[in-house]
Amino acid sequence: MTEPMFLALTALVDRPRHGYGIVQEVDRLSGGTVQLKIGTLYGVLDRLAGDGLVELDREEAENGRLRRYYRLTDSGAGALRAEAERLAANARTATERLRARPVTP
Amino acid sequence: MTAPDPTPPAPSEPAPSGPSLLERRYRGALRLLPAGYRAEREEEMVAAFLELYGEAPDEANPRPAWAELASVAALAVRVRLSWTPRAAAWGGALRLLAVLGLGLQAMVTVGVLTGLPAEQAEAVGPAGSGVLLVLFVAGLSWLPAFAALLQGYVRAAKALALTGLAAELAWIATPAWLGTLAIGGTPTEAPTATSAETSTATSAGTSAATSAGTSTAIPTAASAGTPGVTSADAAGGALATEGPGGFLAAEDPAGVGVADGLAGVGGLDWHAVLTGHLPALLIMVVPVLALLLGQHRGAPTGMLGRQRGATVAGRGWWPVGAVVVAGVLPLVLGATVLREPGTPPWIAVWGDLPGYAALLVVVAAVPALWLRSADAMLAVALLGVTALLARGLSGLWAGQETAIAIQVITVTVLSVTLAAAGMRGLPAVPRENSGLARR
Repeated sequence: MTEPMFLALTALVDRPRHGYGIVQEVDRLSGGTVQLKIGTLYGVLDRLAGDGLVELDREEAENGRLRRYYRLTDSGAGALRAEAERLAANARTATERLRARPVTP
Repeated sequence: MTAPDPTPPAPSEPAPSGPSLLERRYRGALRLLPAGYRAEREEEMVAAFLELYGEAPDEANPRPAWAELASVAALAVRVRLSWTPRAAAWGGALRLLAVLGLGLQAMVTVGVLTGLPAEQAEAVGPAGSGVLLVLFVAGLSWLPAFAALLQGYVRAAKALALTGLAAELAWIATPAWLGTLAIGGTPTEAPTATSAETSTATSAGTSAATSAGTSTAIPTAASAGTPGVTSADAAGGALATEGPGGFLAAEDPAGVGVADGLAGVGGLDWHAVLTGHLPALLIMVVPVLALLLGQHRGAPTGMLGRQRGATVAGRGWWPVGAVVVAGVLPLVLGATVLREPGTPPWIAVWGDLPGYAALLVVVAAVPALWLRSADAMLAVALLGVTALLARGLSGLWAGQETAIAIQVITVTVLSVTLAAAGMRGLPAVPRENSGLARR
């Protein structure tokens, strides 16, 4: 799972969001380090939807513009949880090794 | 259902007098996407784009950022290769072509490694030039690239294949500077062996190891290591220019003309570039492009997709088998005698890189036709077209015309047959694309 996919799934955990909402939330979650381009976002959404990890929630019109909201599926939540645990385990391993590293004067 | 996103809408009021310049330009960029995809996504993408960047007055001549345009272009490539079953079949064909093409280069590399003549090994070894050694090693990256692709490490495969390609390009330029970098001489002192000479001079353990990227590299290195001595001399005589198994491009009237006109320009042996390196480059570039395009982010999983460790998946082994059989077949047929003066023309013409590509087409055509799979047939047909173009660029060999004609006719018939059957086997174009919203 790529970082944009991971962050997009994370952005949908608390509520359904539309495209711009996902871009904003990913930017916030990553501390500004991941700024999704629109083409990238919809590539990510295509893949996540194709794998059944997200699905369409509803459509709304805002100022005459189409807003399509996406929500996390149960399968998506499971995949996100598994990926988060994997990353956490990797982070723990790295931290333990760094802790054991002799400090050079 | 949870609450809607509370994000306040961006200041994107609908323009009463039609879309703004920025919107029109972004919509123009979205035309890269297939019409079916646009029908599903365009309004949504435009809305998200305008919310992200806001409306800008036309007087400011606003344009979408390059990064946004690049993301749309990348999306277009991915979607076009997977959006419809028909497009997905073409994506599969490209992935298969990449496996076949990288496999071909890997077999060439094996041939080079198993048959490296002592003089050439010395030239790229410790006694040779460090620069040449680096380029030589880089040129061997096709082997790990193929292995990485088979194991599903697509990014590594792409990086390694591009390394091999870069090494080949560097080798082409080598004669221009190897005199000063490698052996301390002048560029004009460097022997200008044609690819024909060099490929024969380097003939490795397998006939495949001729005239190819890494193999053309080695004789150049040999030339560098023995300034003033032609590669043919270094490899043991004038075999390259006299033997029936050798190439006669240097003496072939069909091979002169443009190349001679360019002689000396930029310090390159343009004749060698046009008749030797260009066919080799073509046979390298096509599968690398197929790899880059076919293995996009949305590519399906599996041995020919992106799933790591899924090498034993179903029909995925047939292209690997074809590559190995095509590589071993010349050995079984005794084509190691390609270097010998008495090699019959009908064997010799399958011994250089275009010939090996043609041989791979013949071998791979059997399972492709047997499977009746559209992507398999199209992949082999594309390889056939590549082999024919490479053969056309490599020029004619004196005394080999009949054998080459037979080869060209064989590959042409197979390629046309496979292409026709493959096109017929493609899924029908759907009347209406099903988008994400209806999935």
